Amino acid sequence: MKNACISFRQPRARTRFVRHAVALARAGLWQWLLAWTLPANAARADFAIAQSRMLTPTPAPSLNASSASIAAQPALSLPPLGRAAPPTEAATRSQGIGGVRAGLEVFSEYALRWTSNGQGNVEWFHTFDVPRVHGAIEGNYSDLVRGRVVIEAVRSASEGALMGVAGDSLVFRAREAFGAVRPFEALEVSAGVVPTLTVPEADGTWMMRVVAPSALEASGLGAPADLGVKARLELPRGYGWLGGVVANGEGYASREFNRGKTAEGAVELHPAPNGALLPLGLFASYVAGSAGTVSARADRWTSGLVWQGQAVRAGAFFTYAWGVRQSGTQQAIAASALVRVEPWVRVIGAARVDVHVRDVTTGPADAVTTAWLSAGYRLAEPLEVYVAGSRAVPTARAAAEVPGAEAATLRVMGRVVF
Amino acid sequence: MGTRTAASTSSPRRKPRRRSFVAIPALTLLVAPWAASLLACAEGSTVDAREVEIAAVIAAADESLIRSRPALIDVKYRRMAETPYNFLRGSIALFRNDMRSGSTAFGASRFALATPLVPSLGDPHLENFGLLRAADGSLALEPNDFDAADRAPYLWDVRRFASALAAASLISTPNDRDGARRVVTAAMKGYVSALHRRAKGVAPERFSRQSDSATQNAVVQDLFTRADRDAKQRLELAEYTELRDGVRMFRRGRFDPEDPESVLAPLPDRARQLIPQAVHQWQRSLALPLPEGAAEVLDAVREFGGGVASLARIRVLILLRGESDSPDDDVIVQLKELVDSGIAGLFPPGVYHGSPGQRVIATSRAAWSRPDAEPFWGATMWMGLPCQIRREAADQKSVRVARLTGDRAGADVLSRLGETLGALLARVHAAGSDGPAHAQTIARVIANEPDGFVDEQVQFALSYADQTLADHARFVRALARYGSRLGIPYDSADAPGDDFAALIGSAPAVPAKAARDKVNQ
Repeated sequence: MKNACISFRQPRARTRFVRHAVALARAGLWQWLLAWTLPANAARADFAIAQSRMLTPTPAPSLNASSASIAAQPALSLPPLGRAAPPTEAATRSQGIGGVRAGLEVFSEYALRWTSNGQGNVEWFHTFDVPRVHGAIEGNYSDLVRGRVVIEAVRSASEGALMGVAGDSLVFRAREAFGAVRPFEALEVSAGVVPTLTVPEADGTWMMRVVAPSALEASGLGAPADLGVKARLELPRGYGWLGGVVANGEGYASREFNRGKTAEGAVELHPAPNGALLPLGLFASYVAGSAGTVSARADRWTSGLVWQGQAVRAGAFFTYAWGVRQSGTQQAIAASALVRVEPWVRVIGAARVDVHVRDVTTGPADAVTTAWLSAGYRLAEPLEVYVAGSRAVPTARAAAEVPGAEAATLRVMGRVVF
Repeated sequence: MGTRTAASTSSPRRKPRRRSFVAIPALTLLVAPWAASLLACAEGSTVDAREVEIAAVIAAADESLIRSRPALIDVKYRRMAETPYNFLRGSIALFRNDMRSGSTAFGASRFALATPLVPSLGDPHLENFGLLRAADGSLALEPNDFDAADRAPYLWDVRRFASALAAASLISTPNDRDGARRVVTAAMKGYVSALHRRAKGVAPERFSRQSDSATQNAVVQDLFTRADRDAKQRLELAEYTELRDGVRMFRRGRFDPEDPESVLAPLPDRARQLIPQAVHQWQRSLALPLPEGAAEVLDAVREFGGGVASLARIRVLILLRGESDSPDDDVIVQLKELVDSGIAGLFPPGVYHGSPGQRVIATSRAAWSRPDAEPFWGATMWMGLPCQIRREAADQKSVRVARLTGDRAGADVLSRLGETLGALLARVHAAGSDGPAHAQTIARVIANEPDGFVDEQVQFALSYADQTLADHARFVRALARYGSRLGIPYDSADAPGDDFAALIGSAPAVPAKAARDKVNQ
């Protein structure tokens, strides 16, 4: 590897980072070809080990490095099999020191957006942004107790407001902050700012939050975290889990407005946990909630069919909402079909289609359909890069109600997580 | 495959433990959500859903004010409850919710355009138009409130204007639905006609005393007549100030017998000391420089009770020395706290101005027929708050729905007024260097079906006016049900610090009805 770098002649202007990335890609390609010449299981296992050697921080190790140095390198992270990934992944990938782990998750992006008015008038805008900046610390006090805090950066003035903290600076707030007790192996009870159940399930199945949040979150019908109490019970022998949350219901970004508490119950079943169908799961949840000062109804039924494999992850989620924001009588639907594949290690592809019906009960049709297509590559263990395109098409009514709904975007993104 | 590691680090495997004493309550938590959900559903099930929505939308929009200035917001809501038009003035958040949220079908239109986002008044109801006196002393009919102004889709302005006009028509001549239809039709035709003229490059019109709109319209004529009368008398000086030993000072206390909630109160020392600095900064934002020495601060008082939508915002009246040493040419300006428009953030870039002050200055000068249509209108910072300052003068009359009576009422009169204001709104939408291009884009979408555009807006305006009148009654019920906090829970942590609390002040106690009647006599 080192020799490859030296012999790889490029103009001096090219940075060291790019030289290293290209060298890694060339090595990866060689390993990929090797893997496909061997029996699948053995090759994939060997391939993972070999890749882990490649994806170490600079200086890159030699392929002939000793086993001791190989063992010191972090293994390549792959999606969890038969379950959703954690809702926030900062500080979940290392063993930590003394039971305490610290980590980061950062999305950075360049986004180019075209907004159409449906009459041939198109405006464009482009921007650099950091859609997610998470810093986390998590610790196990004992087998019984753990705690986790995630802070995230957000714009201090949302929705285009001019008046925020120091203009419209990025400021930090708590995204998760909870203590958890595990009275026995299968049950964990946590309290504080806890991840909810449904949005994390959708996000964690797709594992492409860098491209877009779940349909439920993007449509404003669900929050990924809230202030409350959560209990989650793992079913025996990998059959899935069931959980419940009692929370304020206003989401983690707002204070409680009413006396009614929002209750969420969810279950995920993996009917064949012992074979090749382990990734197959059925998900269902119901949120009985109240929103706003006057306890407007905010109930959601969500069902989903998921495939939570390592090479392939896919899902179809359907949410029916009774009550939207301050309107307890408005009914809406958020449906999403998604797929994420890792045909070869390092290479990630994803596609998704969402349909958000903003008002089910009154005509004319009020819906926005959005499609994403994305490709990504792992440059190194904690660093992934993606390119993604999306297209949103509203109905005429939705276009009138949501200016800018008809749009196309092209984004180049980076993700660092450890 | 087996040697691959998962993305997350799960907890290390542990030996099974017997902890049923913890497990039982924990398992109960799994069942508790369903019990809690029953409790959540039970509440509020018998309440009118629209009433609930009105309360929730207004509470969400005013949350920070309800938490930090509950006494002032109480006055605002009582004023909104007084008349349907006051309710309309104070409920722009509800209109926007109805247009945007999908909770009603009011937002649907065949003529909507997401782009371009045009210079917009944000809340172009009738009473946000009035006379302004330009630097050369001439008066003209102009938009005179930019609290909600920003870049927005043209149709939101058009529909807010049309529905407010329909509501005013139905309020001034109840049961004359055909009349209201004619009024809105004339307004929409006025809008379309003026827009087409701008699209062809015709210079924007100034609605001065000599324009047809003034000479042929009883409402506009009335504005000019009263403005002339009050300008000669400098009524604002008589109303707000008094001479003490030859020096003009503001009165303190109640000054309007018809409005016992309007009060001038002393400013806290620190706030008063910072007024000259704010005035200095304001001068730099003006379209034309003031004469030398014309902005010396003589006095300043906190003003309570003005307006409806921005009633809970901080207002200060400032007395400035005029061009001479005589107290007769002193000038009163009003400093008012500015906030965000509430429209921005539709799609990237989402914001088009650097601060609320810049937003108001840029939009107003583009919207007016000339940048110096009100030469005292500028922006500043005071006590860390973005503020605007404008001249407070009795001759700058606003259209008032309450005055649409007698020969100033009826469909014919309001139709002419609507036509004029419709043209004025078109002028605003076609303002700025991109104005003709914006006008052409809007004109093109209307040109597909010109009569259909007018019909659709008339239909919307009448429906939404009916909704507004009905919503007023619902709002009154919601106030009775939820109180003036509209359900926002009390939290002692919301109380502002001493300095800011002194600045906000407290709304004056309203005298008992008997005492009020006595004052009014």
